[in-house]
Amino acid sequence: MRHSFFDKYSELDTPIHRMNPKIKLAIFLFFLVLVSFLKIHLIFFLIALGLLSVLFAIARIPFVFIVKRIAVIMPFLIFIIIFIPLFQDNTWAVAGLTFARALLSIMALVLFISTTRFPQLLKELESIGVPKMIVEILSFIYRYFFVLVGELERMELAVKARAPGKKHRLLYKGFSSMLGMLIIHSYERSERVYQAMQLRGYDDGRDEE
Amino acid sequence: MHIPDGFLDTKTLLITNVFSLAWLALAVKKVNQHFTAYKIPLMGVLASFVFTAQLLAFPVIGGTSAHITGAVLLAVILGPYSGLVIMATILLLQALLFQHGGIITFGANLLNLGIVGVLAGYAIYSIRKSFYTAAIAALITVEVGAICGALELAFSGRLPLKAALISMGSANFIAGIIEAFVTFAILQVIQKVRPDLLKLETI
Repeated sequence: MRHSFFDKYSELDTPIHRMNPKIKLAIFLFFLVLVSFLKIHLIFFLIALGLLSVLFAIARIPFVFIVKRIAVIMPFLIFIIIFIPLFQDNTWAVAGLTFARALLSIMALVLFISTTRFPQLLKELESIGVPKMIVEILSFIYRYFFVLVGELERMELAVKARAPGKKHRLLYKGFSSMLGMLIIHSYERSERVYQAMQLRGYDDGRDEE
Repeated sequence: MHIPDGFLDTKTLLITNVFSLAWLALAVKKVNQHFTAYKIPLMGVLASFVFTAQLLAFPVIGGTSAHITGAVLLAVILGPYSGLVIMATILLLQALLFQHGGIITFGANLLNLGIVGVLAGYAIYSIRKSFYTAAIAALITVEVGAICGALELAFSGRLPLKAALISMGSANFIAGIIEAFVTFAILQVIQKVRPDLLKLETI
């Protein structure tokens, strides 16, 4: 299983990866707010685009990866462009502004996430005021996601072995019962893990550390 | 439907973020107060489950695909407030990792998928607690969530209101039906194998 699924390319060693994550997060958030709330002039757009491209090059993030990630905004963009004829006033300006904002934001997001390690990110999230509970759940997903995917793969294999040639994922019943079993298996695993943690001296209280 | 950054205007962003983050803060507070025992492992595992299940896209007519949200499922098993906290966590993670949804539009997405999905879903479910009402709640909340998204885009002047409502509403109708069936079936499986999982303390 690919364990880089979460923070692909974050293990590289470039000046941007080495940058202090606190400062990087602050710049990233500031940039997003700037882009989302201010009017974007063409010159600003081009400068920001050039700057982001240079940063991507320094961070050695592959071009294909960036393009694939940016493609997420395309359905929304196409949707907006389709409906332009139904609108009355200066819609191309609105579409252009939306495009500029969406492109710059998503590029910044991809740059930030692919140059910051996940555990590091969690620490910074907590320091900017994301509730501890959410950070804890995030770190749980980070650890357990791979276990669940492994479980799911084993279940798919079992279904294939018993019902060869059936595209079971398309069948609503098979899909649902697989998810149902997955939720039960993960619940039982959480019970076992929790018991093991308690046996080794893990405290129930909220105010440890 | 996760709205990426850049697609909403200032007033919509401010309203949705203030509204959603206030609800989230309330939910975190409620969960912290109510759960005497340490429930984070359970919430974490269920969050991982929903996150994994959301990655399984199944094909819908016309080459498009949809995935389940699991919002009503979470609300039924863990209760509305813990469900909302989990949903917020998943949305944040999806925005960060896959750019599904944005950072500045987080409030809008939390409104469409978390507050409508989990809180309103739970409200419908609690009218009469049965798997059928859970399924109906799933159908309604997916549809209402899509309509909220359409309203936000229209309110931001990105789409004409009528066209947005019709297209978003109809596009998500199939997803809503699938969500209803899958929610119902998963609850049935749990009822059959581990009925105690449906009798947990909820908040």
